[in-house]
Amino acid sequence: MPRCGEQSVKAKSSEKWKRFVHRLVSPARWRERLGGAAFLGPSLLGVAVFFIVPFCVVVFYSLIDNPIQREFVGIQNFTALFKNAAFRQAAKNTLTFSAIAVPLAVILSMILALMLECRIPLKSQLRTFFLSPLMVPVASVVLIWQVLFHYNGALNAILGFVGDARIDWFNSQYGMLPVILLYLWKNLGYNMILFMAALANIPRDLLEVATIEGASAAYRFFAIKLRYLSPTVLFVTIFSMINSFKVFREVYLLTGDYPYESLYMLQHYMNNMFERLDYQKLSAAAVVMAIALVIIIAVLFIVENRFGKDVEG
Amino acid sequence: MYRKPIRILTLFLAAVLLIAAFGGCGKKSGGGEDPNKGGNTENPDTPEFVYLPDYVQPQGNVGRINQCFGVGDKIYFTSALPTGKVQELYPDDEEKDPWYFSIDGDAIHAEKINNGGVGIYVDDVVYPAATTAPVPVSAPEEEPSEPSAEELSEFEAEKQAAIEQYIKYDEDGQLIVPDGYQFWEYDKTEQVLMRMNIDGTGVARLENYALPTPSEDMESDGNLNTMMGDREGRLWVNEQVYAYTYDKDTGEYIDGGEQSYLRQLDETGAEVRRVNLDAVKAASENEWFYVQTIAIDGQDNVYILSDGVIYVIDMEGTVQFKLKSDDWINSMMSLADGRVAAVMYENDGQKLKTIDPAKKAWGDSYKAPNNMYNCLPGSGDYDLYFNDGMCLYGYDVEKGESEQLINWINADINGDYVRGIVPLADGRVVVMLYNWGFGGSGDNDTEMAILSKKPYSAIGNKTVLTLACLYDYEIRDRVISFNKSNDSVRIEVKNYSIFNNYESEDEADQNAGLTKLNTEIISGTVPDLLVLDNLPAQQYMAKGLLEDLYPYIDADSEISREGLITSVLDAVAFNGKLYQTVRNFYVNTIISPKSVVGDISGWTLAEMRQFQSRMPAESAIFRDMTKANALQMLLMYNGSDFIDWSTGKCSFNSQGFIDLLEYCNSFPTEIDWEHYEYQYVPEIVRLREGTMLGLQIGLTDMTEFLAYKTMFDGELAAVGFPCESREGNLLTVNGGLAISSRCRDKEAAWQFVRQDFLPGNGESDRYSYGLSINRADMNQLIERFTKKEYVKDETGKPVLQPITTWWVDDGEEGHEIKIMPAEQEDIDQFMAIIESARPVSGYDQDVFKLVSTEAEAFFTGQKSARDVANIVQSKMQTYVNEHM
Repeated sequence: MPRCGEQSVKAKSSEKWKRFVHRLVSPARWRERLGGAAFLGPSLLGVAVFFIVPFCVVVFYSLIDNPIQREFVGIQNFTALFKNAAFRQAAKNTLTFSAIAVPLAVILSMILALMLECRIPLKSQLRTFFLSPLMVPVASVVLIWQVLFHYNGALNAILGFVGDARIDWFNSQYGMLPVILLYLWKNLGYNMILFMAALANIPRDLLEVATIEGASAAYRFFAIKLRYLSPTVLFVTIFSMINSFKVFREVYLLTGDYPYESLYMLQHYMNNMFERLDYQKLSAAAVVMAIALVIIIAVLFIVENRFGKDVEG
Repeated sequence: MYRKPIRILTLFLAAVLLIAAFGGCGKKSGGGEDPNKGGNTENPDTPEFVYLPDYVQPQGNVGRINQCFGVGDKIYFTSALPTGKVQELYPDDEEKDPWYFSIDGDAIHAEKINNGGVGIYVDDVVYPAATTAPVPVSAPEEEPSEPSAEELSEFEAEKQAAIEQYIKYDEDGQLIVPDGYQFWEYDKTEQVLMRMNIDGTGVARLENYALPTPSEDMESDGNLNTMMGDREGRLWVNEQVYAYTYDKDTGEYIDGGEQSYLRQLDETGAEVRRVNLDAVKAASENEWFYVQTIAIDGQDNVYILSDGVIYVIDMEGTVQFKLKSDDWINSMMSLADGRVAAVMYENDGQKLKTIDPAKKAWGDSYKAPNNMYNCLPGSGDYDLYFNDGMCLYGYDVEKGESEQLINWINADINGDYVRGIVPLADGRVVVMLYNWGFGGSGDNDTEMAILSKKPYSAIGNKTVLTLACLYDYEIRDRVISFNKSNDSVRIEVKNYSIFNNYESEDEADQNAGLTKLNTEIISGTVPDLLVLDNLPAQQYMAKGLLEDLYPYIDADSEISREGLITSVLDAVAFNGKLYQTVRNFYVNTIISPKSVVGDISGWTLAEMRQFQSRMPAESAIFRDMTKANALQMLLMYNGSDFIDWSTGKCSFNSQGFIDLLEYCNSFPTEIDWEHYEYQYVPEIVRLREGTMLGLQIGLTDMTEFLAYKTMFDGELAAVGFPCESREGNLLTVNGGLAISSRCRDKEAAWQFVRQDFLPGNGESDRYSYGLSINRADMNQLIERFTKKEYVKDETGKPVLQPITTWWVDDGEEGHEIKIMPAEQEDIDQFMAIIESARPVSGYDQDVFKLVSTEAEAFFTGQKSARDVANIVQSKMQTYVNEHM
């Protein structure tokens, strides 16, 4: 014989089930759902057609022998990909570039934001100055960089003037340096604005209390500001990482299909595979890159969750 | 209370958004016209209609048709009609027999050959054969030299004696070829005006047609320049006539001037109306006057296009006005509505402009496709027709749109042979075809095809195979011949080059055809057959797109691997599989006298330069080249030496490549052609003077090889192009037909493809030349060059006869080399060169671009050869790694 408490639980459960079924079959709810679906439909369709379906096609291509025979080959394309020296070189260069450029982009832009938050002269002009690279078209940026870093460029002219040997920037191990500089020059301003906005949202009273309590500037930064900035740090990191992959555009315009080995990026590999109709290697590389990005972003989310879990909002 | 209308509105908006989203996915039904093609040129896989030909052989000799025009059920045409044969006699030994004869019917043209060189004439007067008196029968082409009367008389007597000595006929009236003479015969043609019925019957010259005579007092000669029909169905001709008189006393011709006429003729060729074009000639700013095209509008204004200027005259020959254009006028034609228009190329593309006779100015201007040439007056739905050699299009001027009417090759017609097109009122199209060369339906044949528009199902129950190519010139005859003779299979050609836009500066537009083909392949629309010329063959092979032909060869009852030159097949095979046909091939090599280079069969660049350093500068093999040319050539010949594809390792940082760069740097950056003095020294002289290190030759048959071997006294070393592997004999193959692995009927495709391997099919033709891939053909060639024939001399001793002779320039009177039958040693050496040849695979546009970009820094002194070599090594290693 069931006890009173058990009866009550069963009754509640039955009531819930009835409410659920009622909601499910209720014409009013259906109309509401249909309306929502109708609004979502075009966007969903767009996302499906332009993102989900192509990604599924890419995954399919990465698992077949070629687009003509279309025989399933399992992970053979991935095995071949990892054995390919060009892919390994491209992956290594891309990771190296991101590992150097992304933290620099986050840290430097945060420093700039903090600097502009202080009472310094020409704040407005400096803000505009740092944002101005965003307005310059890529082709012009590339042209400027060529003028600066070409074998016969301005930088080598200066080196020659001070008596040093010229450096073939784009055709040597130093190739990544001008590209990192270009990346930072292009992205710092925007990241800085994001950090400035985040800094402005930190509750002033909290900072004032900390100051009254005698907290040092470093403590205030690490204990309060950085914690409040953590969602922005995550966003800026992801954004910078995406931009670090997009640096291929500038490298391609500077050095073409086949740059010096230190500048050969994953997108070079993919672009050249596309040109050669090698859709299997291209698709496998794209899938690998997607997985790597998902893992990195997931790790960043976990870190951000842990780091900023006690921050409001 | 407002919720319902709001919901309806939101649903409506959502529906609109959905429809808009789907709208973007729809197939483009029009527009998007490629400026390079005639509008809607793309062939759907199964077209709605097809033009099928009925071939008709004209019932009579129609000659080589130039222009034609249809009126009612009659076709009028101008033709180069053979009117007889011209026979020529050349002496084998000019010193022994210095006379050359040309016999044209009754007239014998005799020339005395001086200094042993054929073509150095001392006499231009033509004498009738039947008479002994020197009566000139035609005008001289050039001003004759003026020998004295005594010299002339002496010379004429000598000539007459020569004619009597050499020109003799046998009982059948056949010319007897004198000993020591060679005989040559060719057709003599006359430009005539003819007519026939559209069924090919009733072929006849217009019986009352004769060239106009400018003056009764003078003799005249001339030619029928152009013919046209106007929209009233009247037949017009333009003739250029030259008048002259012959002064018997001085023996000179007196020029009577040149006249140009426009004449309307009736169906028998009799003159109906004559318009003298003197006024037009006077209005012309040029000294010479030549009518390119004539058109007549609905108001009887005559439009004459001459040297880029259009003159508009009335029927009396009075010039009404003339029109010029800043741009060259390509063509002029009358439109279906009676207006006359001209096509010209302007800065922003090709334009069609009408002429407004009322305003005496250009009328409306329309954008025209870039392939609008060979225009015909329009009819029916089309203002004009035009033929670009691949298709016939109809063009609607107002819409600015052209429509592909007939794709020649898919109508079993070779567009190269189309000499005239006559659209008939009932929609049929009569096409006059003239096969002007090798192969096809017969040499120098004129055929007529009447094309009728039929539903696609009219092709019958045939397996239709699609053949994709970028250029179809080489396969046209073979496809047409196959389609004509095959009842169960039909090949339809998709020429993707029509999608290329060569007017665009964008490389992507210029290669749009290849991109389209590749996109179709990737999306699953794979053609059944491919012609691999200009296609990324290696990629297709690597991706499994193509079928291995070896199993088909093995299974064929007539073809076997043993019956083919396997070394050549192996050289073009990819991973041991043969993906393309080879019809014929040739080998490029460098030959040197063994006395100079010793008995070697290959050399590196450094070794070649070492030999070079011991000889004078003029002995260099590669001359008159720029640094860039030299680099391109050397990369083409031995670029692959620096890449080991089996291990994926590059060696562009090796000394060999540095040597190559330094060698290229020894050439000038640019050749100053303005001050360039070409000094040709014949090979035989260079050989004699010891200034020949080597000579590039192409082995397309044995003649050249044996000639040089004879010249080198049998001591010939085929050293090949300098390369690190010392294997510099380079193979070029013709063929390139491939079956796709998704072919719908591979056996049927093989029936077409196998023809490249059959004996007799590998001989040189108009598009390709070389040695046949078929061993039986090769054996025949060897037999021909080894066959020994003897003729007894005066003492009765048998004398070995030469196979042929090879004339070489020696800077003086020329030198004839007698090529004697080849010995086994010669054949072995020849075959060894072929068997050692490797394909010219070193030339890769990507590789050349990569290397030449970096090499520029060395050539301009910016970087050292080693620095450049290191950079090239880095980039090329990445390139090779990608391909592994």
